[in-house]
Amino acid sequence: MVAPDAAAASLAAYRAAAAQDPRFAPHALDALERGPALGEGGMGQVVVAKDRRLGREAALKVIQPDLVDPTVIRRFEREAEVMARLEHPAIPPLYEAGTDARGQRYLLMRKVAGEPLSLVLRRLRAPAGVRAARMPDVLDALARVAEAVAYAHGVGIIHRDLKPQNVMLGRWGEAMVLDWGLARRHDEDAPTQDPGLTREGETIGTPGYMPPEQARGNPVGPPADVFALGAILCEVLTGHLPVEGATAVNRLLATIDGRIARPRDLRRDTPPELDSLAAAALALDPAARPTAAAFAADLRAFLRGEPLAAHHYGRRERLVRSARRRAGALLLALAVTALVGGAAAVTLRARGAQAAAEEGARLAAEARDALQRAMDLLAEADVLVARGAPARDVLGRVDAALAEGRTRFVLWAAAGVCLRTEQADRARDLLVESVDRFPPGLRELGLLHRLASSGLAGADTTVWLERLLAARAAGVRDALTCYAVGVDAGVRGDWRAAERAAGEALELDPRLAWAWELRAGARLHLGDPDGAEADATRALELEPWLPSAWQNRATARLRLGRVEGAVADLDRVIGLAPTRPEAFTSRGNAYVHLNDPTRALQDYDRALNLAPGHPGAWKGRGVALARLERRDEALEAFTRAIEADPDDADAWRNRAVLRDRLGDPAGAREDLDRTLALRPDDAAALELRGVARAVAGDLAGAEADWTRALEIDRSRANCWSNRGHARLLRGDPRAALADCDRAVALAPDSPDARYNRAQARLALEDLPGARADLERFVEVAPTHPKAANARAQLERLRMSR
Amino acid sequence: MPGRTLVTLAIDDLVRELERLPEEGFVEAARDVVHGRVLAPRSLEPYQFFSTRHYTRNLIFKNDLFELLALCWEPGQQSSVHNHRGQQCWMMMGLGRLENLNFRVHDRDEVARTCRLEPTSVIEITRDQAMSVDPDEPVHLIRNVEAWGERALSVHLYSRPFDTCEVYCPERGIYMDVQLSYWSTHGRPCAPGR
Ligand SMILES: [Fe+2]
Repeated sequence: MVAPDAAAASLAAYRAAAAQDPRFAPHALDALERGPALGEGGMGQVVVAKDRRLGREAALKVIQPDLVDPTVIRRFEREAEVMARLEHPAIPPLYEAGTDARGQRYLLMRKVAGEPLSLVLRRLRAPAGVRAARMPDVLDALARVAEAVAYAHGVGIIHRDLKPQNVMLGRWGEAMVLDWGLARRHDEDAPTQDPGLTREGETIGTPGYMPPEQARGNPVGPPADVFALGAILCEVLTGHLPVEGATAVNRLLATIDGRIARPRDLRRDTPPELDSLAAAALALDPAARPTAAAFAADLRAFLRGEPLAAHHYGRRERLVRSARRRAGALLLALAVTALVGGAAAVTLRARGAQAAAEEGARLAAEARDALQRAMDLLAEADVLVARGAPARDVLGRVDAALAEGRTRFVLWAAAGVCLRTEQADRARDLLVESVDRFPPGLRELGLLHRLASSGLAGADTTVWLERLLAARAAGVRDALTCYAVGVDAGVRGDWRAAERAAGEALELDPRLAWAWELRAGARLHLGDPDGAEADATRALELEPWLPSAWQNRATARLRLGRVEGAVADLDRVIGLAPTRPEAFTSRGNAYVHLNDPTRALQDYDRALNLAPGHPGAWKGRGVALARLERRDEALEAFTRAIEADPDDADAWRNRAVLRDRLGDPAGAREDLDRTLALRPDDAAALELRGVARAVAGDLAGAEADWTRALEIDRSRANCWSNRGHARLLRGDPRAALADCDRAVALAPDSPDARYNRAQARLALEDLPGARADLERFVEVAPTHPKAANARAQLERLRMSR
Repeated sequence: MPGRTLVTLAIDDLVRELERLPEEGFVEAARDVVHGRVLAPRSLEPYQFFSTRHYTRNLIFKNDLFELLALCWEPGQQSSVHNHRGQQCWMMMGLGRLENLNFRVHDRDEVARTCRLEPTSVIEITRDQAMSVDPDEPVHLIRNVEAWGERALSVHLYSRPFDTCEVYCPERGIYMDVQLSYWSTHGRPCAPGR
């Protein structure tokens, strides 16, 4: 722990040293105009800086002034030295390094417009892996990163902290490798020039991307960066890191233990060649990994459809590769195989037992081969998806694979390919076939349920849910059945049980996005929007195609007052499921919050096009129209909302306010009675009804309503002021004054409160007090209907003195 | 370690030996004691309490100067990443073996209570190789490696006794104080919650 005075001394020493360091000579940083933050690393803050002399924008990285740990300062200097040595299109150039007048060190480098790969991966992650259409772009970017790393290795520099957060994808397709703060030279003879900084045994990096030798604290060389490239490739291909573990510590321990997966372990349909490349880069033995240059070359070969050095092509694979160049011939051959297989099955029954056994073995081998061929075809289909090929070509491979044999495994994998080509209906059909023909597959049932309940394919939500619950009743307790129990509880309105069951599911499988989503929904119902937002975010990190998770997060954000974030989420819902009226209604509500009733109205109208009786949309429409002063139409909308849902107290109350404004106090009064019958504790409605009763001359009734409203909510200044006025009229000026005092205390500039208190004070002959209130009243509300009266009273007070 | 003879002794004898050490120079003397002794496993039986949920902390002896604990680990159990803040800490094995991971703390911000952790070394603690926590790098994690498949009991000597330690959460880059509690004291299980 650094004591404050030690820190101050250290800071002074650091400034003195900085002032003498020629590389960091004082520099007029006033030429730079600091803009918004670009991001914050472990040790520095990066902001946009505009160079007024040159009129260009740059990225300015500064050390936080309170970070005076000398290793931080030396790492910062090291970053400057390293970046100055690197000149490559995928490494941002360093413009300048310096020290400002306050002794704060800074680096000025090119500002990279774009977004980090981590964000791209999160956003584009389809059910698993990067959404197919963008795969070639991401692989191309990764090849550029590998080339930049190869270049750095060539000039003797290791990055040591490669990860998607440190890779920026630019608007023009460029990729940039950032954050060289942890880099070191590997060509220096040990011991290094900087014993404190690169002390033997130091390891730096991020668990999940760091190789075992780094995790153990052993010295690292260029292969450490290659391991990180392999880990990033694995994440790109499968959506998962090659190292398992919910926490950084557990990932670190798994790395030390050498528990490192290859992409195919995580996702069966990974293209075999890329699987081999990632596995080679992730080798436990640093010497067995390819160089960064070889890694880049193999990625490029894959993108061109050429053979990869890291992949060993078996005989059949070579045959398949050449056969696929003649795709028509292949399909014909497959059809022949299927026919022969059928004939063999028929003749089998006619033979003797010995012959049957031999035949059985031969058929089993054939089935195995057929499965292998089917999986090869599906892998190829996924490659086509990745390369952005037309859906027709992809589905041709899927059909060919299915023709090899419609086993449960093939059906599941084929459904996955269909989902990635956005053929949700086709995926559903394959899953239904699987569920019909094979013993209950929980993952198939779960996916069918999700497809139906998110409106992507099918409408038979309850069927699949019931089958999952049946499996649970039969004793299967896994994440999916726990999830099903939670969904069922939610359907019954028992949100506590739903939250609990979702939690159980997540304990069993924290990657089950649906369970995060379910718990988000439950927490919304339980009045925990913070928890709901966090859960929905987790769901979306895992499965960004879940429209309902976006919807839940939007609802949570609306409750938390983060309206703009909610609108962004709702845009996603609408993009994913444009037939959900709730999404349009919610976005309309958000626009009302943002005071944009015109756009809100458009959304409500779209919701009503989809669902003509949608009560929320009618109600929202009424609010938006009222804001636009289109009161007659607003009245109509509230009436429709009430017809659609007569139990909606808000709709009744809204109509009451409108009727009152339209000069229909009796109608307003009726609506308020209905509101209060539905929701007796609605303080706002009580206050309004009190006003209606007072206007109708029922002062005692009015006072009763206001008293009740104040019991519920003591902060209603108008209510205090109104009741004070009523009490004065009933001849109790002392009680009136007490109420008006409360009103003025809560809202010192409320004209009504001041006026009413002045009247009470006059009645109690507190003339100076009354005068002060009246003066304040005419000052804050010179055009108030009662202003003339107030002026007359003031005149009389002055005369009587 | 070749060329070194280690004396086997019962845990009670270790306590007595430590109790005799003068307060001045305790740290140096205690280090010599710990590194020169092997514990008799039978003598530790009263302190063996294993839990399937978490490793357990079992108090053997405590005075103002030092505290002696037996920690019992099922295979696969691990501690959090933590710090003893100026405390001296030594470990010797009674049963099995453990792995110790050391970390260095970077960019520590006392106000925001954030930091970054970087692993620096992995050390195996065995019956004939006791360990002293490096006072320069006192942040560590201990685990009983699952693949080893055997239970472990380690005896920890702390000076001076603390009842809190600092636990790091590398996920969020934050650290916080955590209250420590015993699973048993002097061979008797504690009521839950203490
Ligand atoms: Fe410890």
